[in-house]
Amino acid sequence: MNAKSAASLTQSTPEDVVLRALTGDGAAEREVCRRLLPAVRAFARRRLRAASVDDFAHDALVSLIEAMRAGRVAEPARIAGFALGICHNMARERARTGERRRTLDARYGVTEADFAAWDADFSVPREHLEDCYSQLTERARGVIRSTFCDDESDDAIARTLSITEANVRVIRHRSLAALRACLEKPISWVGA
Amino acid sequence: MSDAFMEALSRLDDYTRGHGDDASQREYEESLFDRALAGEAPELGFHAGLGATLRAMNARGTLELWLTASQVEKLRNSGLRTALYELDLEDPKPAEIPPDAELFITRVKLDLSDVQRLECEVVDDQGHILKRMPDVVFDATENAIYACCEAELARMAAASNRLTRLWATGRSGRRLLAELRAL
Repeated sequence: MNAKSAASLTQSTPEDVVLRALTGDGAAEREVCRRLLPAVRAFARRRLRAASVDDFAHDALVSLIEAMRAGRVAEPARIAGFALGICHNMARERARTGERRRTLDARYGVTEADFAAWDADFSVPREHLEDCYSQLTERARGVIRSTFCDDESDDAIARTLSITEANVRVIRHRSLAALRACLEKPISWVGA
Repeated sequence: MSDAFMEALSRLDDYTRGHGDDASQREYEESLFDRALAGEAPELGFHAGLGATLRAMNARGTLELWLTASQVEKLRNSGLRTALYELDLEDPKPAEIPPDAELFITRVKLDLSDVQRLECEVVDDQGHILKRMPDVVFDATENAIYACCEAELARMAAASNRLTRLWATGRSGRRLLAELRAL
């Protein structure tokens, strides 16, 4: 697929992309996966330990491609709901063997390298985040670090910081807002 | 940044953190997946990108800008190419950042006795505050603070015309502890 057709897919409506994917267009299949990956990850993050999230996302998207190629997606307009259904089924039955996974990998080819490429669309520059993160209070840094890096529950964070779980939630929401606002502006040093 | 975006980000945060029972989340999940497919869930990309970079920085040891001596020691033994710069307040010299350095660590010797809290602010040559860091981590027994950052950020900072002020709060109140041209 050349860069022009990739860009055209990125800008296509979901309906167009899905219809193309259902005709076996590999690039369109991957575009469907690219768009759904963050939602599948959020689904998994709600239910699983951080270390299992990417494995879950990988298996869910491979299963989605498998279903599309097998003609099991009866309502193209409901493909997002179909993907969500796969996630729910997988959450109930997570006993997948490594062998099955390798077989599906070989057949449908969604790899970790694809994940890395898709993630690049959402990347946050390290230098900029470092500049923004350092402007948070120590408590806010603790909440963000424990949430995203240490995979701690809100209950555990609350106990460590001697605050309530509700406070943890409020601090995290405010910190996310502060980081977002800071990341939308140029890095502090620019213009000095 | 719109309020709608922040509301969506908070909602997503609650969802990923497991708040609310699964049955009540069904409608939200359906909407989330639909919006993701339509490219209309920017909060998903931000949340994923932020989390990935935070984890990468934490694994690299560069998430926290302010470190203690023992944390610096650990970082210097981690295999990353670090450059340690001693900033002498009596005779401050411009920092030299080796081209191959990955991390740049500045050590500033200070009298930290009676200091309970340290804040740092960076101002431009007009006196406008560019950045405020409310909680500087320090170990009072070391009588020094350590600032660590990606060498790229240090290069950008070194090229700018700015002043760094350190404010100390102790039993005698808040006072200006140091004013530095470099850091």
